[in-house]
Amino acid sequence: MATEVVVPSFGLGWTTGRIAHWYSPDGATVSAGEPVLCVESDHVTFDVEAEADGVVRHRASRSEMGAGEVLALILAPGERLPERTPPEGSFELGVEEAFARDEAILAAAAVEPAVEEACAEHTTVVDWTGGESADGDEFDFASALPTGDAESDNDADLDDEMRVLPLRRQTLPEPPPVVDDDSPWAPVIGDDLRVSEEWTPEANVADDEWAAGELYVSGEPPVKDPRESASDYFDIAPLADGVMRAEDLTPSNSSSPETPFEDECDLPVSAEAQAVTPVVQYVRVRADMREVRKMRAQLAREWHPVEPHDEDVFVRAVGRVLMEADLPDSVALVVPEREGLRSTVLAGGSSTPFRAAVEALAEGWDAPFESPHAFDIVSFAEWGIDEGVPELRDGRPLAVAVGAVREWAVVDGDQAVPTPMATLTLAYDPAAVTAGQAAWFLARVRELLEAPYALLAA
Amino acid sequence: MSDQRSINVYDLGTTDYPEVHTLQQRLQAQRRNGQGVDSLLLTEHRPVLTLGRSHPEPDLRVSAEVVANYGIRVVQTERGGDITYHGPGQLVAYGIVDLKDWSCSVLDYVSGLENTVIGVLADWGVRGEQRDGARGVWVENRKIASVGLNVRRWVTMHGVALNVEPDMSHFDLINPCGMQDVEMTSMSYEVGKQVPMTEVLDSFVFHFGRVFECATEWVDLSAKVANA
Repeated sequence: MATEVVVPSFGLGWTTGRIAHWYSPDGATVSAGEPVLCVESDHVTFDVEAEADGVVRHRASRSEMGAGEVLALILAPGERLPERTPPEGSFELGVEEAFARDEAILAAAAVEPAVEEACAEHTTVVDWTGGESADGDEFDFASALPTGDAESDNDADLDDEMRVLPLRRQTLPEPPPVVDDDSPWAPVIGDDLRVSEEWTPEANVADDEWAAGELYVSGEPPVKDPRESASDYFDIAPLADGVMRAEDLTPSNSSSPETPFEDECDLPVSAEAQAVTPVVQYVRVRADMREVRKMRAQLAREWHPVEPHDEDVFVRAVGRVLMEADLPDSVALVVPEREGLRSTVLAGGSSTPFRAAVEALAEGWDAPFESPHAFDIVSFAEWGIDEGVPELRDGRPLAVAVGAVREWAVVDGDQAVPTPMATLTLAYDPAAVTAGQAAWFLARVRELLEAPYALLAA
Repeated sequence: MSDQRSINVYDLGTTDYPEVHTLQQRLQAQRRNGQGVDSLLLTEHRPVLTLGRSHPEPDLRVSAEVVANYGIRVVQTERGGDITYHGPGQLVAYGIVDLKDWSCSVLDYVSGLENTVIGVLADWGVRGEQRDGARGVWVENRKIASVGLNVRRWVTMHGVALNVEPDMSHFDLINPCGMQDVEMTSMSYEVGKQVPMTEVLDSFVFHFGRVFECATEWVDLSAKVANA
């Protein structure tokens, strides 16, 4: 049983303190009586000690903590972190169940339209054998398979877990605006990185490009988020009082939505979420997680004895890039993990409207799955990003989302190879962050994920 | 509340900050391990600037060179709070107290230290006050005493610094407690005449005993020094 390290009470009437310092980094070995971290409040620093021998794992560390909150767990030798596993058999969910589940996920993730869309994209079920597709631009996957499989048009031959989607190469209609080529923000843009607001299948798909044999596979084109359209309107006709409401968010042409979520989900999403993020644009890349998987054991040796999740690696990569980026303000990040039915908010500083909205939604998210750990908050303290207010402007966050790591078909030579890929989405406030900055940010995260040994360097 | 609180009081005279810092750490470590006794160390430091745990960068109003030219060192400590100045003419009281043993919460202890200072000020006819959201003791809107503590396994160290008649110009080097536009004051300024440190010491120990309802026992160090 893991030993908890909790916030001590400073006395009657005391509300919160902040973590001033971690004496024991995540994964360090401590013995009983050794100080683990320092909580500060009211000119008092309190060194919280370990009550048992073992390995410290940082947990649930926001910067403001009340008495009794768990700061860390101390694992005895051989003990593993309590896994926050998805419900039994969730991977084999049928389509209907999957939709039902995704509704709830959407509800939790809906503070960020990009997150919602990332989820929506994953749930698109496509007949890979070449049925009708919305834009009629599908690729006959069978012909890209190795010859042995090429004749097979039998569903039974498919690996159920491998979501095979039409191959499509997506390109930027035009490069994002760059202020200065010499600036550190000069974008490094992969071919598969695109700026969302201009996205249409016609403009973005170049059939001849995927045939060049380069890596890239994508799913269905993301369903256009009505609120994105609303944000387009926002630019043209700013709202009188600057606050976007639910009725403002539904453009007239959305009456026949292509996604099942819009009519089936009566989500209390928009007004609250949009008050926080009136204008959101996003960029998206897909990162190859093969190297992370390969290096897992090595990363574990370097970081802590417990093998890092994909999410752990992602968090470190984002932390690294945040440090490099030297953003004007600290940021809040949402990391929903679909398979695990949990979401991670990475935030610095005290509470913000954004964070309150995320937390409120996450509470509702727990219920249908009875998962007590569906929501987690991870601190960036060990990267020194615990200070400041996690918002860019007026409570508008920069949000990074990572979709679940899934097997995608990647064309390698003349073969389609199932490859674990993580979809990374960065939603940003265009008034505070330029498209070039956002593109640079996400491209750099991907770079680190695809070459995780760079994360080991100090 | 414990029936028999008692504390040993040591008057260390004028000291360098690091030596007393080390002494505190040793006393705290002893006390944590259930040995030793609760102690109250009274001293005046030679000029020094100390930094709180989470403020490793000194919040100076002047350049670091200027501070160095004054011969003032900057020392990092584990206490809470921001930068502060210690120097001759300032009574510094460090309590090494097992709060569990005293059945006293951290906030009550801090508040008690402030009330001790308020009692001392009252002896000289000065009205000191606590303030919401700003620790220390204030005379109107001027700060006369600062607190900063470290607690580990419910044993305290560091404590309170009361300006009796220090060289106030040294406070101009820093933003005390990280607050800009804080005006520092001293007892002699508020009283309008010199205030003898020895009388303040006696008064402090008296009020400490009164506020915390604890017996205070002066430990005479002169014999030990003579024997050494």
